[in-house]
Amino acid sequence: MVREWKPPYLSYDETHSRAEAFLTEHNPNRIIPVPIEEIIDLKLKISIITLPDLISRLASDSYLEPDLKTIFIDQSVYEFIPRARFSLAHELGHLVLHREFYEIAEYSSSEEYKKARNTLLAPEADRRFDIQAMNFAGLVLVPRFELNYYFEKAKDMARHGGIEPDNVPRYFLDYAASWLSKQFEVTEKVIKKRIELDTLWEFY
Amino acid sequence: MRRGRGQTLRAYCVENGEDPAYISRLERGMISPPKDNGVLERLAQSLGLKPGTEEWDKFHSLAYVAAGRIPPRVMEDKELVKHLPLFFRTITGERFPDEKLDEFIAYVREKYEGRGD
Repeated sequence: MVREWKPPYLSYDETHSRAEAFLTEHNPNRIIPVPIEEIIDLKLKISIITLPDLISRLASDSYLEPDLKTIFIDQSVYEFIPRARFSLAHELGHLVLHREFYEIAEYSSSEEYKKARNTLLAPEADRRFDIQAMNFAGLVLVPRFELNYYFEKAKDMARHGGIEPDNVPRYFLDYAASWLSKQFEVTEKVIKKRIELDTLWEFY
Repeated sequence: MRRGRGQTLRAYCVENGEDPAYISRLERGMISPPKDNGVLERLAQSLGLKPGTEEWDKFHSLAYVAAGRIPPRVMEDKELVKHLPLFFRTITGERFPDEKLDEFIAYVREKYEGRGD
């Protein structure tokens, strides 16, 4: 009989604590943008291997091997650095938060990985599995303290340009997301999600 | 070696115009090293190796062995090549008269001892 596995419940604040512990260990100087490829490739010695058409086969950007030594990533994703950084951090999230899954799962190809997930994770558990890794990735690449700092800076910049952020909330959010995405080297979508989750700005 | 130089896969490939898909597979042993000497030399140089050094020879020897080939340096040594069939059959478990093995061992010792490779 196949064993079913469920990721442990983890609040956003608990995920934040795990992400901060990870940063303390692997990015102690709080370098921004977080050098995620250096951490994965050089510090953790995890190989990053690109695969063509992984997205179409897996419906996912990347996956981590059960030996925790290789991350396979779609070739086109790898070429778009902001998205690649998030995908790689997402796999780190699985490594940090879901190690038990990799002890149980057996696979050696993307097709087998997909099958292992379908077998081991019920739909609800599968969603939690991904959401937790995404939250971890966001919190590692866009740490809370630095996001606050840069977000306030974006407000100052807008005011210097004669714009009061509170008067044009939607416009300001787009402006801030665009600028912050360059500071953190992630997509604007990731920045907006982080702003939303940290309730830094009201979403309309 | 790339990691030893503090270069990520991306940084190495950008600096040297290499394809990350190819390099990552090569490093992980998923594909055989190139058989083309020109490509091997290019890769060795991109890793900062200098021709004529021990590291250069080691890099090439390892690449040849990983590709299932005998390094040219070995092939150039006619006496050593003469003993290769005996060597290969011995390491695959076949038994040979002790004097033949002793002869081979003595040759390798005389020729290569102390070279560190």
